[in-house]
Amino acid sequence: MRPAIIAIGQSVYTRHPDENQNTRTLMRDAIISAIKDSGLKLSDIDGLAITSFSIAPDSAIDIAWRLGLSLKWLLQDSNGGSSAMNMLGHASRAIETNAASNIIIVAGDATGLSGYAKIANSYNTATRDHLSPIGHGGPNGVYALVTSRQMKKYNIDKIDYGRMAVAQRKWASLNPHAVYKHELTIEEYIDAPMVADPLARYDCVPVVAGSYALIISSEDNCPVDRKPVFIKSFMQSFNFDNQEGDGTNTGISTFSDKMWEESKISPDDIDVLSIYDDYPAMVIAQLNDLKMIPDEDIKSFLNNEIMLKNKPINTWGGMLSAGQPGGPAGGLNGIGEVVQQLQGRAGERQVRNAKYGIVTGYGMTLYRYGGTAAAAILEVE
Amino acid sequence: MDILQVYKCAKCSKEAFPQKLICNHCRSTDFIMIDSEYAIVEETSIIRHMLGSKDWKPRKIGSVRTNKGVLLTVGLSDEIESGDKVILFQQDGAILGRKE
Repeated sequence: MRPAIIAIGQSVYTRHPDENQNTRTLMRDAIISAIKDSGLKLSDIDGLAITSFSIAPDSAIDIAWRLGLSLKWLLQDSNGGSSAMNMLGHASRAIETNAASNIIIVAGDATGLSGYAKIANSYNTATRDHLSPIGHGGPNGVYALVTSRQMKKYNIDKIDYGRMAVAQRKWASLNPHAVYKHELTIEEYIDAPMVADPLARYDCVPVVAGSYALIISSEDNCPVDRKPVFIKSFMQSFNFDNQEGDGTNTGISTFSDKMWEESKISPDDIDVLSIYDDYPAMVIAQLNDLKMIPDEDIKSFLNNEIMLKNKPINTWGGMLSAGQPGGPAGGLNGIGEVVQQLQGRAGERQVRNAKYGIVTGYGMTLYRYGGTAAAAILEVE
Repeated sequence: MDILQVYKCAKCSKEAFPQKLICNHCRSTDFIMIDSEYAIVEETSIIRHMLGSKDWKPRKIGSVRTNKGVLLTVGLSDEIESGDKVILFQQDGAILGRKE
């Protein structure tokens, strides 16, 4: 069967979950929303892929049991900001090989700030043993140093990053699910309290409770009111440089040329982009690795393409404005946004005549920066 | 405070930190621990807020490169800036840079 993404679903995203909202109930809500969107029945689902930082000691099978899902394909992913992409790749191949017919991919978290802090301080042994003891501040400290390197390397000023935060907030104002919708001015961005120099409040994602879900199936199961979304190209990279670089490149740099060559389209053909935005610097790094920034003129790209919304990037507001549940779920939201854009279902955020979209994942901070990266070109025919 | 020890490949002498299971240069599995010599501070940051902590006091961290090319993230005292030469110590698990 030819795999296609046919439906999306989302729970509420909230900074302050009530006593009845936890990771499991939010995942349930996103799954019910996706099922409703697909026109399928819950009993049609025979595959489940799940990622979360906060379902332990449960595993994917426990969630399947609680949801009443009897399955023939099951996956639990632990690749952080790349989990959504990893699950998409595995699920796509499962449909292709008839291992399953209708797979739900779900990501969600409700860690709370203190729960997130615990995760951040014991993320892996390198973090627990060597970063937490110096008070590195979780990922904020790690990416503060990467951002400083990027600023020096490409002559970027603080205000340039602000263009991205302001532009994404404008998109978020059109997303009913975003936790921050009010306009952000460049002055507010500059005046915001510093968190980890040079990162200030609006450079850091707000941690939220929430969940997102996709359904991947065969194109024949796509509801008639929309087009199925196909994966034109899908590539990943893990630990591409053994942490011996400067962190201003990602694993995407190892495959982007091949991706464009094999897909037979160019960066100019891309209509809409969801770039994993844990920090503005990493959006720039991924865009640069994707060859989306002409002549690596990052300053000009931020000021012209992003600020003026010539390039529709993170049209849901991104994690910077819409919120990041834990770490894995934000990546899935970005994929779902491009799916909606390509299907013409993005409401006020709709990009006209969108045919090609690109989605990425980036994450799993090993020691000095992330170790996982992925990108996919999505299309409608 | 003890001088920070790093891991030197017994076969090709490449140094690394944290400890690797296999040398990514020559694929040897044999390492010896040696005292680090000195490092140059490349970037610094001040961590002003810590998630989940109400009485956090700002502290300086930095990215440093040892004279053998090992890249580390360390705690720094307030007066240290980018470009400074530091000696690396380990205290209660924390790797700290102090001016030579």
